[in-house]
Amino acid sequence: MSAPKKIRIKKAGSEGKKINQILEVVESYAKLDFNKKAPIENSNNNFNALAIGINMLGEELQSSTISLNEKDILLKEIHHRIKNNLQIISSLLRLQADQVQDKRLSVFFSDNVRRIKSMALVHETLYNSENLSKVNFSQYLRSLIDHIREAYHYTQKIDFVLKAEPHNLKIDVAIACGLIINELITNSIKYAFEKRNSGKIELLFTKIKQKKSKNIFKLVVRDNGAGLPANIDIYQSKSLGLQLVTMLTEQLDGSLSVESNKGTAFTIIFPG
Amino acid sequence: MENVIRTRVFTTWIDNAGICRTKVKQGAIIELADAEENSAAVQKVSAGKIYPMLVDLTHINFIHKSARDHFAMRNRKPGVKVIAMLIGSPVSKVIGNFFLGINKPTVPTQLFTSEKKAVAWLSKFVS
Repeated sequence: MSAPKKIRIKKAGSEGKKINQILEVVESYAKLDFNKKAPIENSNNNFNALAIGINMLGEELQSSTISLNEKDILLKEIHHRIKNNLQIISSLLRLQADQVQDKRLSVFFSDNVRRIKSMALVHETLYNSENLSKVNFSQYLRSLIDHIREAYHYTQKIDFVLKAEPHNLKIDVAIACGLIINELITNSIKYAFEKRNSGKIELLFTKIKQKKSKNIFKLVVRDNGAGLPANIDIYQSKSLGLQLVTMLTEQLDGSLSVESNKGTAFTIIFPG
Repeated sequence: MENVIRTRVFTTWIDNAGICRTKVKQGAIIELADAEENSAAVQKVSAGKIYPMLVDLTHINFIHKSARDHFAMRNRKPGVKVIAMLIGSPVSKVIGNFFLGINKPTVPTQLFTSEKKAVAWLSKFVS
């Protein structure tokens, strides 16, 4: 893109010169450079009044820009601290998990460590990005999958496929989705490939339509494993993982559908 | 005029009608130190009372942001009841409008081009 053409008054004389000086200052402000000032004279004419007004406006804009930058730095720091605090909680749980003899209790601790990590990753994604109020969800999904792969010890060869469109989600929506995905992928790793040597887990994230001012998103977690037991009702399940999935889908004001055919596919449609 | 305080750019006194007046000197460029000096002067001439105030901006040349912020009285107790700003020149009009829109004082503030009308409005607040 070529640089925009500068607007200048060709009128000769001191008035034309003064207008051009003021235009130069306005152009600097548009580039967030507030150091340039329009020259002020000790006179009470309209040009001087205009120059003074422009200079004062520049001071106000500079001050607002500085406070906005300070807020950004503070917000980044807050996300960093939340992430660190969540990491401390998960480290404590991991230590506790190592100390208990009961296998079921140990699994309980490990499952919660993963859940907390999925939330901490949202804050990590936020403080590493330019946009501090919305989460770059495709970037978050990549980190989440990497984390689950590292945290879970499985013996089969499992391929993870991520197809995610680049959309930003609000923090609370991203946290709920992260927890849902964490449960579904963990379930697939645990149960889908029990008597197999290999498998595939796919994660798809797309925007399907825009309804008034809201976007509608589709999230699919699919595996090519054994499928769900024939008589399972996910809304009545006693598994904490599935209970979390249904509860969080409700919290998102979304809908959940499950297909069990040559594997299992969970589809969640939600506004964001 | 009794008990008049003159600072670098302001002259401040209480008039016979019970109005606190401050007049900006010809061509004054007001900085934070000037604004703080003015507040101290207002406090001194007021001697513990709270007056309505007339600020004559007609001869002002410029006022820096720090001084505007000081006069907006955001983080301090206002030493006056209301403010009438007297404007006339194009420069004073621009500066006066900044006080109405951006650097708004915490007490009711109005702009006037007529001193008579400004005094009439302030008189309603004289106790």
